[in-house]
Amino acid sequence: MQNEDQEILEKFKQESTRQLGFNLLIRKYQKRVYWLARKMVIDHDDANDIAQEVFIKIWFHLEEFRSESGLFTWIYRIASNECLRVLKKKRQRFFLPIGDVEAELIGKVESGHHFDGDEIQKKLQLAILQLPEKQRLVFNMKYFEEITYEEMSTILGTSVGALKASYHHAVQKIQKHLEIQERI
Amino acid sequence: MNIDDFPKQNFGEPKLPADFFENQFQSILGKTLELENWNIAGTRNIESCFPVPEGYWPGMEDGIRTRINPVPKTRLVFSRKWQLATVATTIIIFASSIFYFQNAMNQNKDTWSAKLNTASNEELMASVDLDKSEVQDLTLLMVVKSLPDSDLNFFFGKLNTKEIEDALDESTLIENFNDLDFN
Repeated sequence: MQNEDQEILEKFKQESTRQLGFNLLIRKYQKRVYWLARKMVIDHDDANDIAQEVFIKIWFHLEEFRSESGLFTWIYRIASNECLRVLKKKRQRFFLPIGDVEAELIGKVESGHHFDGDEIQKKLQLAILQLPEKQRLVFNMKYFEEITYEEMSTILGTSVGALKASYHHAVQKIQKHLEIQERI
Repeated sequence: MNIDDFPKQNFGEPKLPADFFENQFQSILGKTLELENWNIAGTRNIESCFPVPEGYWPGMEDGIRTRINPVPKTRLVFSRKWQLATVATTIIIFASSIFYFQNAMNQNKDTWSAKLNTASNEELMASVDLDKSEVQDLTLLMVVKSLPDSDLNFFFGKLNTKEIEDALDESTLIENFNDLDFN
């Protein structure tokens, strides 16, 4: 994986192979970036906008990438920030409190147009949407993508300890939410 | 008074359950592991639950490429701005010219219609320098007023006062009057 990233970076650095390098990068990371966004915004169009914006940013800033962290973590950092920025913009545009944006996302899951999982999947998604945005991001990365805390620490710029605590709190909240839903 | 002056008290050994710390540690560890490994069977493959339009992935690649490759964004913005500015200017010039000509025509028409409608026989006679006896009372006014607005505009719209006075001179009037049947 590292070698492949290295090859992409080398191709990108040279003017003659820049386009090829970028194409390889898109092919390698487009799905991961899209799915990270889709889990956060639920809506396909919003996720597509985020993914496109992420790759445009990568195109314009890849030369500044210093290889101090892995290419994957660097891309994920851009994608995470873009997801949070879009959600924040949604709130600002409609002057909505946090709860209202989440209510909109819950509505999208419940409507069935943007989500067609079974009943357990749906319950889990609805429970996840109760979490604050950053905690949701941490939960999604750990639970669905199995990203290590160390990698997450580089992506989100937070300590490993804080991320563990955040994830454990998220799990507890989800468990509690599911229990309440069971009783209803 | 020094702190050493206080009598030292022996509180004895704290009474904790046997292996309290060990159990506490095990409990925390157990809880942490439980949270860390918590999962609901069959829910990790969430991606299959989000529908994606057919042919989306190749399309996405193309979408990104077309956004970064073709005409530089700034040029695109400028050319669009210029296009908009050109269209707006053309519309403004076109609308202004229509408004100007319509206004000019109306003004002309209003001026002559108003003048002719309010002019007395004497004024009309005086303006064409005719003797009252040469033309019957009301005849000139009747003739002029009987003309429809479009004709008034046609006859008088493009003429200045001097030209109208010339046009309405004695001979012309008499000729015209001879052609008209007032009965």
